[in-house]
Amino acid sequence: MKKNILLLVTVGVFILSGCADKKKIITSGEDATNTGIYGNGTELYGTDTNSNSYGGAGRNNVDPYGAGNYGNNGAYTDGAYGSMNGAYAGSGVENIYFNSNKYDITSDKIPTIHSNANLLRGKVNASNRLKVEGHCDASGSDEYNYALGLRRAKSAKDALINKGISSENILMISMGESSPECVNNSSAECYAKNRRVEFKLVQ
Amino acid sequence: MKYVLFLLLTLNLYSFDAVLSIEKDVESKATLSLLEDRATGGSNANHSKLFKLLLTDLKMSGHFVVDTQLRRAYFDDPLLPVELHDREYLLKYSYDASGRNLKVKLLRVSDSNIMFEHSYSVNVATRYPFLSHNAIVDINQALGYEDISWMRRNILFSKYTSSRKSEIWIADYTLSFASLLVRGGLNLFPKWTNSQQSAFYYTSYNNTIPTLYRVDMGTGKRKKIISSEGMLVASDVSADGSKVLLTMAPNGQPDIYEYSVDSGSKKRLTKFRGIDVNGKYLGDESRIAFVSDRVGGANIYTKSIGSNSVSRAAHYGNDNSSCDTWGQYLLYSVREGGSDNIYLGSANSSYVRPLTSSGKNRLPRFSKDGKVILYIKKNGGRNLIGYMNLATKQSALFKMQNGKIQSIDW
Repeated sequence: MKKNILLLVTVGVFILSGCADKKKIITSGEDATNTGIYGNGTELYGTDTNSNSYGGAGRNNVDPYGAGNYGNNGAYTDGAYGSMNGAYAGSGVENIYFNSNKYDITSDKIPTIHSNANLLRGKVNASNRLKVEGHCDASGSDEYNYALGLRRAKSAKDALINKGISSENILMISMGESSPECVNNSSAECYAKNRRVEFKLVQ
Repeated sequence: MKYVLFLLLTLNLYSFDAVLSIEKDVESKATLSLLEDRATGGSNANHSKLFKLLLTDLKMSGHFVVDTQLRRAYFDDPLLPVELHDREYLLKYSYDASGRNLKVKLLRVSDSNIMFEHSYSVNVATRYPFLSHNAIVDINQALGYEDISWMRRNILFSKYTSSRKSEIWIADYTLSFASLLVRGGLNLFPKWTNSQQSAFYYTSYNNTIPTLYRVDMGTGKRKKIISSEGMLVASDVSADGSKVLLTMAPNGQPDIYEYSVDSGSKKRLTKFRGIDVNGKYLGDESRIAFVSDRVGGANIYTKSIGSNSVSRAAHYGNDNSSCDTWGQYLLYSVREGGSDNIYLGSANSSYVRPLTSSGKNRLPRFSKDGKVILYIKKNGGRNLIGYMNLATKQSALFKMQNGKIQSIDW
C-alpha cells in the first residue's frame, strides 16, 4: 500500500462538503451562511430586534470548516498496515529484551546478538534489508516511548554492525508501545516482554 | 493575563483529583434556570442530551448555580413562571426538530430584560454539542464573565484500537460528539496546525519511513510535509503557525528540530546523544521546554534556541516523560509509586504545585488561554478525558467509549 492512499466514497463527501463550505453553506430550506472563520455572517432572522447590547439575532453556523464530514465519518483510509511490516527474520533469530526505561544491551544479551548476527549475515543484503524494530512497555508518555524504542533499535543495529552486518542494509523504526508482545495485564513480567527489539526482513 | 493566572495559581493551593463539579464560592455565582421551548421541546432524539449539555457547560463555566430541573414554556411568552422569580436569570432555548438549530434568549428576571439573544446552527445534527458550547460561551461573554472560549474548541486525538493500529478522531470537549478522521494502519500524534484549527498534522507509520502529513479541514486535502527514519512527531506549533517543533531521528538519534512551514527548512535544536523529545515553545518562543534523559530518567529541561546551555525545569519527580507549556508555565506528569500525577511548574522559578494526587493521570495540555487543563485519566482499562479549570475550580471527567488515547491536542 506504499504511497497508495485509498479515499473512500465518504472522503468524496468529505472533500466536496469542505469545498462547498468555504464558499457558502446552505442548510435545507434556509439561507444559513457560514459565519465561521472563513465566512461572512448573514443574519437569517432579519433585523436585530432585541434589546441586548451584545449582538444581533442572526444565526451563527458554528461549523467553520465545512464540517459536514465531521458527522459522516469522512475519513482517510491511510494505507493498510503491511508493506512495512516485513517477515520475521528467520528461525533462530531472537528478540533482544531491555530493562525498564533503558536502551543499552546488557551483557547477558550479547550472546543473542552474536547468534543473530551469524544467522542474518548471509540473508541481509541490498534487496533483502533488515528492519530493526524497537518496542516499549506502556509506562511513560507515548512520544518518549517512541524515542526509547528507537534508541533500543539503534543499540541493536550498532551491535549488529559490529558483527559485520552492513549498516546500509539495516532500517530502524520504533513502534513505541503500539505492538505489545504481552497484552494480558500490566504486571512487571508482562511489561518486560514488551521492552524488546524485533528483527524482520523487508524488500 | 500572566499575572492574573499566577495569582490564581498561587492562591489556590490544592489538587483537583477531578470528579464532576466542585461547588465553591456559590454566593458569588449567578442563579439560573433553563426553560425549553414548549413548541419544539422533545421534537428530536437529542433534546434531553442537549439539556444535559447546557447544564454541563453552565457548570463548567464556573459562573452559574444552575437549576437542574427541565422546565418548558413558550419561547416568546413574556410571562415568567412565578416559581422562578427568585432566580437572577432564565435561559430560554428552542431546539428544533432538525437537531441542527438552536435559539437562545437570556432574560434577567428582575426586569425581564433580554440580556442576550442569538441563534446557532450546525451542518449535521451529530455536531449538536457545539450549539450548546457556543451559546454558553457567548452568554458568559455577554454578561461580562471570564472568557470560556476553550469550551468550543475541537479536540483532536489518536487512539490505539489494536496492535499496530490506531485512529485519529475529532470531538467536542465532552465527547458527546466524536467522529473518525483518519483510519487504517498506524496514524499518530495529531496536532492542530494553528489556533483556528483549520488543519492538522499527523504522522503516518504506514510505510517504511514515518511521514508527517498536513490535512486541511476545509478541503480535506492531504499534503506530505516531511519524513524521517525511525520516528517523527509534530510536538508543538508556534502561535502564528509558521514554525513546528519536530522530534526527528534521521540517524537513529531522537532530537528536536524547528521546521519552517514556509521554507521547508529545518534547524536542529538539541544535540544530546540520548533522548530529546516533546519540544514545547516557551513565552516569546525564543526558548523551549523538552523531555530528555540526559541525567538518567526522563525529565523536563529548558533551553534558549541557539544556545547550548540546558537547565532542568521540573523541580519535582525523577520520571517525568511528558510536558506542555503556556507562557512560562509548565505542566508535566510525574510517575511516582504506582501513580502518575500532574504537576504545574514554572520555567523561571522553583514553583511547583500538584494538580492530582492519585491514579493514572497523563498527557496534560493547557487550553489556549492557559486557564483550563485537559488530561487523560486511566481508570482500569478505560480512558477518560479530564478537565481542571484553574480559574473557577471546576473539574470534570468524560468517559471514552473504547480505545486507549495515544496523543491529544485541542
